[in-house]
Amino acid sequence: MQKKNEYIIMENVSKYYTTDTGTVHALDNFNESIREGELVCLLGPSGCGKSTLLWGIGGLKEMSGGTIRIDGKVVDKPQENIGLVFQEPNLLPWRTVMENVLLPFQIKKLDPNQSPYKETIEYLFEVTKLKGYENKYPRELSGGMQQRAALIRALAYNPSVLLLDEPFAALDVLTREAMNMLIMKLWEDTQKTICFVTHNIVEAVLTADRIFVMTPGPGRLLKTFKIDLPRPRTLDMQTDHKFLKYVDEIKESIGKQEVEA
Amino acid sequence: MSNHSSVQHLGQAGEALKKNSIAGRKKKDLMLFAAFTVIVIAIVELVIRGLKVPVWIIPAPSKVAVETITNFHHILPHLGITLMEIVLGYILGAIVGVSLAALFYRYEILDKLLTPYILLMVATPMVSLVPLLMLWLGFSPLTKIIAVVLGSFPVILINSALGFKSTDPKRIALGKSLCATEGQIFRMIIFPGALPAIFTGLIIGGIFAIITAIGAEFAGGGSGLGSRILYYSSLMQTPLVFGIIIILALMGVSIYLFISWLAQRYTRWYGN
Repeated sequence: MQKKNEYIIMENVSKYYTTDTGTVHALDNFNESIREGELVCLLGPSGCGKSTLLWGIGGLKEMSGGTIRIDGKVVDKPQENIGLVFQEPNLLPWRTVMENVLLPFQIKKLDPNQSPYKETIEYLFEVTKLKGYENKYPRELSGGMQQRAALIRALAYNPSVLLLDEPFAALDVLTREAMNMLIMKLWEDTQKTICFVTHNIVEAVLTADRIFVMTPGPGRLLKTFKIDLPRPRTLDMQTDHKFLKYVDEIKESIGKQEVEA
Repeated sequence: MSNHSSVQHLGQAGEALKKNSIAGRKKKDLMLFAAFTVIVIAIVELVIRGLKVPVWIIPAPSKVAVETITNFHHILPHLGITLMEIVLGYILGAIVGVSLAALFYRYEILDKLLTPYILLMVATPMVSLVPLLMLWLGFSPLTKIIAVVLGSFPVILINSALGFKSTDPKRIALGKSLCATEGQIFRMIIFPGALPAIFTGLIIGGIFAIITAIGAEFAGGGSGLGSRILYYSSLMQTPLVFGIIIILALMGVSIYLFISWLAQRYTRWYGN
């Protein structure tokens, strides 16, 4: 591992919940790191703690043990430098698409008309093909368009880290593939560090530099896969021998765990 | 791009068409209703005249209209007082209701300890407190305004608090992920999201405000439309009693329509 480039460092990260029936170990002693500008997938079946870890990196969930550092700083509260995209688009229905995109600017008291935000917003609307929809309300958009609007909102204020919490799980396969390509395009253009939670193996192999495969009960890191496929990646690669080999290997490593492919 | 915008124009045109046809249908419905009302009034007029019903039992509509218009200068000051009591009491009730709901949302302990009492206030007709209020505060309109506040704020509070509490936790997480302060989350996420529930409270609260105001005027004091109903019926001036009841009905409908209009304006995003 290249020590100098490590950007997000997770050391012995644990999380347990106490319920009436006992303690649930959501995440057990997780150790890994993500390099600056890397696209990493957290992959695993439900209950493996992948979302818990993501919310921990975002500072939205307090961990029970261990430390998470971003750029040397210990994460103990929500971070200014992070954009988060949720499972649902989570747009505010009383705001238009543009008003939703400007929400972070109002909260952070930034001026969206200033450089580089103005150019960033313009670029994002362009690349997500939402130009012309700025003044539409979320209910007037399809699910895929709403999730794209959520992506614009998460990236408009130029955070250096983008956290994706299974953002495409509710979309149909074709839309999901288009979204995967969009994520990679955004990543190549903006050089963000991306942490992408998914339970879809194909999606993970298609997009990731490395995949942290996790298993449940208790949630822990099973194995890290380095995906050595050329960039830019294309949808055609999904039928390549090498691609399929990665998918098989990951499936095998997870074993009997049921994973939707 | 051009494809997008043309699709959009089509969409807008379609929407405009739809709006026009809805407006057209509404206009038609309204005309039908007006015609029906005229016919009903005409029938009532004819029946009452034909059966020679004594005017102090049920006056003919024409008699009600003439008497009310010729005596309107006597009624007007009372209408002003009643309207003032309702509007001031209701606005205060709305402010108290929504503010307390925000406090209850922020401090859960208040919610737990006080909500049962608020529910008790919703269930108890606040008019029943008026004789006590008169005893403590006298017969002035202020007493009635306080009664209106007491009558309207509990139901506004309950609905607003429910609106605040049913905020989707994902939306609050969104605010937190953007490092929003508690105040920002309330202003930008919780409050706007609760508007439909708040307006439900405001509409019911408006009805409660009118009932309480008229009830309070029945209970005491020589001013206001409620007191005029008692006064004219004691003089067997039945046409004027009917006239005031109609004025009250129109007032109630106006307040209801106004709040509904506000609700539509500010919660158009909701429901679809």
